[in-house]
Amino acid sequence: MADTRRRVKLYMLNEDRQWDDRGTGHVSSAYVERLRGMSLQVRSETDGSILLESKIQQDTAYQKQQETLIVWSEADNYDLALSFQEKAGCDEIWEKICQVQGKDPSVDITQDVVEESEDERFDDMPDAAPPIELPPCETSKLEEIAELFSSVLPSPIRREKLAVAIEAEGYIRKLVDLFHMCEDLENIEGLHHLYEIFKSIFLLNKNALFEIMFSDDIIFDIIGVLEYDPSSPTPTRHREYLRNTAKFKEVVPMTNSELETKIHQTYRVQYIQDVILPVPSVFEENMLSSLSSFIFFNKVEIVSMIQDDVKFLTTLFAQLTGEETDDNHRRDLVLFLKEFCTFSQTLQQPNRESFYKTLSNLGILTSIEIILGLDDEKMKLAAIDIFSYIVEFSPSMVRDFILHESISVDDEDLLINLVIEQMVNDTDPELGGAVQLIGILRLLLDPENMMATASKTEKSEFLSFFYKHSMHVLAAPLFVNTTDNKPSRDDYQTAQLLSLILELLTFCVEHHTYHIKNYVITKDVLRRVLVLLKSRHSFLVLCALRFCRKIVGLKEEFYNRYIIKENLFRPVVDAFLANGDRYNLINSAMIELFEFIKVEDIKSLSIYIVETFQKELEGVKYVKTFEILKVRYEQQRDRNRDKHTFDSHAASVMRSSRFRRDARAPDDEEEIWFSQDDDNDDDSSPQVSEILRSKIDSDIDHIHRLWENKKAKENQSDVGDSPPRALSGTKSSINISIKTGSNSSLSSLLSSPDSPGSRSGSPPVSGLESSNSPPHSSSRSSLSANGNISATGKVSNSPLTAAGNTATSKTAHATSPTSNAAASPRVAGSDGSPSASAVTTKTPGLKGLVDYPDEDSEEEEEEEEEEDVISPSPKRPRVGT
Amino acid sequence: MTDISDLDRQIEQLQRCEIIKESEVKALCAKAREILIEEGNVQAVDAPVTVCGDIHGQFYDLKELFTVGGKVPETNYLFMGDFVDRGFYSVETFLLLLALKVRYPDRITLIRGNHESRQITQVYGFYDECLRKYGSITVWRYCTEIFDYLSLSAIVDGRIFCVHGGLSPSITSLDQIRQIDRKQEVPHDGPMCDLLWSDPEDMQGWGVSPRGAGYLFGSDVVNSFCQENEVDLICRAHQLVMEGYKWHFGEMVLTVWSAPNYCYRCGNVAAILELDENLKREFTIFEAAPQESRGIPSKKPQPDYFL
Repeated sequence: MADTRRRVKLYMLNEDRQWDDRGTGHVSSAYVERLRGMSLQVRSETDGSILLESKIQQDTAYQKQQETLIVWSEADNYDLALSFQEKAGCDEIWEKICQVQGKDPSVDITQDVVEESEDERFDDMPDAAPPIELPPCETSKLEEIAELFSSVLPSPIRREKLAVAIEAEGYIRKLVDLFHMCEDLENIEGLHHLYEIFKSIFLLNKNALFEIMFSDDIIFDIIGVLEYDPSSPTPTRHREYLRNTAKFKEVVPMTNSELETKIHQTYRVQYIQDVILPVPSVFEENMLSSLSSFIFFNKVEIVSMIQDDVKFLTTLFAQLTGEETDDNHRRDLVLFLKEFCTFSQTLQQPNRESFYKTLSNLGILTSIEIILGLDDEKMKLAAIDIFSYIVEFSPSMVRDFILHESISVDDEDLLINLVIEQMVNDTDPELGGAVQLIGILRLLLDPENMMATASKTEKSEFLSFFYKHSMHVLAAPLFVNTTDNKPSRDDYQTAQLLSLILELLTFCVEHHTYHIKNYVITKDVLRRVLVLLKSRHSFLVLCALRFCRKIVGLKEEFYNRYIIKENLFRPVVDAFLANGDRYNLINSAMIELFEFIKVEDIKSLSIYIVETFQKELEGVKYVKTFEILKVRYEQQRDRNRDKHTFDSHAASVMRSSRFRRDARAPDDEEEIWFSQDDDNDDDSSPQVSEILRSKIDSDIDHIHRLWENKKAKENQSDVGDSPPRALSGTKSSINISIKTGSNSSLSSLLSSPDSPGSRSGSPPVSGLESSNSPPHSSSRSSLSANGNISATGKVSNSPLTAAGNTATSKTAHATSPTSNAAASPRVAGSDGSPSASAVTTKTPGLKGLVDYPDEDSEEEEEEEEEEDVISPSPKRPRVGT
Repeated sequence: MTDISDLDRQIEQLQRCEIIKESEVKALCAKAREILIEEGNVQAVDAPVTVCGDIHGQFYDLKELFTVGGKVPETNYLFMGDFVDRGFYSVETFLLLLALKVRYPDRITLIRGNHESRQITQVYGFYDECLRKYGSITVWRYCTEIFDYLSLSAIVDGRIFCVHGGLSPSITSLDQIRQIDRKQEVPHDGPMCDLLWSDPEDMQGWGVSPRGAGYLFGSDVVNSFCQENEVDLICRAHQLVMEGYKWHFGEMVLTVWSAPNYCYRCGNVAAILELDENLKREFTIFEAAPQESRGIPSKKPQPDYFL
């Protein structure tokens, strides 16, 4: 019989859970009288005996695997398998089975398997599958080879077997020989088969095979094979590109030939991954995971080899900063360094630490400083990328450098000021670079990633430094543009830059307590910012408004008094009214601001608003905000009729000129209470009221002195720097004599929840700043920058946290293959095959079939509740407000 | 003029499922920002308009949607959020919709879904996709920045309230939505969060949502909301429905779902709701785009290398 279509091998699972070969023969399906039903019959090809006669039961779960295999169980532990020589035969029999059971033959299993345990599956018996016999490696067999290889892919165990066979028989090199032959003969069909064959080999996902394919002598042949993609009409000239266009630049001669080979290999493999075999979807990502890890480990090796080569690196840095170095060469050196840092992202934490330590010892930050001082955009951009890597890895290291250099370097040459200058002068019309730089600055200024030790706190030291030496550089564009009552320059680029600066200042208001307060008051920053409400760029208007909102949001009387005294809601109300009835983001943001004051019942501001703007705001009737503010004001006034009214009292505090300067508490005490907001409350001291009172005193006195100081400065240059510390130069004591009818209203004002004196109950005693900062938390910083949903949900906990961390640095992501794998299994099964079929099978109605790996079914469930569970929050919104 | 032809070229490119340059994304986002900033938290939309639910990065299915629903600008569209995550082409999908928005601001309305968020996109795919397709997260930054500007809801001819998730106990009138400063990351509670996260449920009053954010809202809540605001119908998305659309509480709340074969395997059909000038409702059902029409995105190599 020449018919091979129905030729099958019959396997049966034995007691040892091994598949026994029960003979080869031909299968047929027919009605068998004795069994009273359609049955499968296998007749031996050697002696014609019946090897199998099995009735197709209605409820038996038949499974089709890898296109040529049908597996099922009869009774308990009586597992059978038919392995077909040809797919067509398998399909025919499969159709018969499905017909009997009334199923659609497009399924891969005819019944839902109830909780079948893993080890009963054919797939999962490592030694169960028959070994794979490779056809002889000949041109005429290419089609057969291609079909065999692709038929193997869905099954992990068969993939394993195929990989073993390929390696054992040196098949890859044989195929490469065939490739040369086909290419010489322009045998396009053969070349297309070879493409398919090698694509399958890639998908086998075996490192051992990659080692062979990527060895120096045949990698170009492999790439050559991949030029002949059957789906594209003309071959893509990858080899040409790699040979002629791509250029390896050896900036400093490498003595290690192994290193050089590795570099070439990595580039080429990366090219294969990115260009030739791009992964179209997350589902297929796992199919090539070994390719990713191949590249990954190559990079790790390259980095360590270079890092160990002291001579190489010393030469590199000497040339980088050497005066006689040619600029083109210097540019290449910077680009090399950038790539070196990019590669270093593959290193694990301790190794990365030593990596940056090495670079630091070689003077990387000084080099960056020098490059930023040069006039070469390309170099500068690369230097900033490098800088950004370093800051993301260790902001403390950079801060430390900055603090140290400030001893010997002029302000304008300080690294941080060069960075700010670079940001301010970004020539890109969309300010791409500036956006990146502002992110770097934010990291450097984030107290959350600052270290605290017993002896000193990085926070106070660095922030004092920054506000003294750099803040004026950062804020300069703001001051330059807001000297009048409208922005002097209002082009798009300026507006963009100002919005970035405002965002950072807003961040400072939120995270730096003492320094920014001083700065805002002495420099009258809020007034300046609010000038920008007149910009024609709505996004800038919004930024200015949000800066104001952030200050109001702190609910600190200190700021509120400043606002009232300087009538700073004037420009806000003007802008609100100028926006008119238009229902847009500005309108909503404005109303939200007033709503906040109303809901939080910030008395001083409420009174100020009603008394000053009532007439103008009366007309706004589409929300009740202003009406309620007014009603509340009137009620309050009525209540206070007999007493001294709140506002007149507030006014007396505010306007009183009876304060006198005098000796009083030392300055650092003041700093302590300013910055105490985030310190521990537990440390309660016995003399709460005592200290509270002195704090209140110092508060009032402080405001007074700030105003004095401000007036004194008002005639001076806008941008000029006046270090906040200078303020506290004179020691003074306070002598309050406020003429009020009732003390009660004073104390109620000062101890109201909004007053700074009562913010955290008791003041810190000493050096408390340290207690609140996390010991080492370089990653936390950007978590906070990314919003504040805390992950508590069971399902979402790890992904959210992980994601938060990935967001920290653009490079942290996907650096380790393990983390990669950990992130993906929810999407695709770790074994790849069933999920791949889940992607490609598009027959509707498949849902619910055991077509996916277990992870998938789990995810199906999750999807219901998930639709992305974010953490349930303990706080529910105010119902019915 | 060059602006428009540039934009048209970008739209064409995106329609082929090819990404545009990073600098173009930045410029596109800047223009979109100008437009979105002027929109209200409840954006007024005129009928006729076609209302669509979740898309989730299923680019080829979005193209299918335009095939069955009509092209922009011939057909007006209102997309109720969840443009990104889960599918393979969140970048192309969102950028195409955004480019269309910039090109035809009055013809297409985009409101925010719970997936238009930094937090969520880091977990469900958009973040990784940006990183993979652009080699950095800059584009993700630009896009998430724009998410903050997206309107929170829309109202069609003053009668049909459209929102991604549903109602909030903090909101009884549409004017209360006006008081939200929406330019922020989606918070984890409060009215803005609820609008994007809540679901209707057969019950009375409010219930705790199993999602961990937003609420379940019952028919009485819907009744009083509709009465107070003189609204006939609340149209929302946010939940997979196998039939593409689903009515709740008689015909008071409607779920529209526009991602066929969700996640490329749920086997569901998708729907869009076509409202004519008299607000007459018609549903169009469509299935996933055929497999062959899917292309493979590729990346450009860097010619010089040092390592």
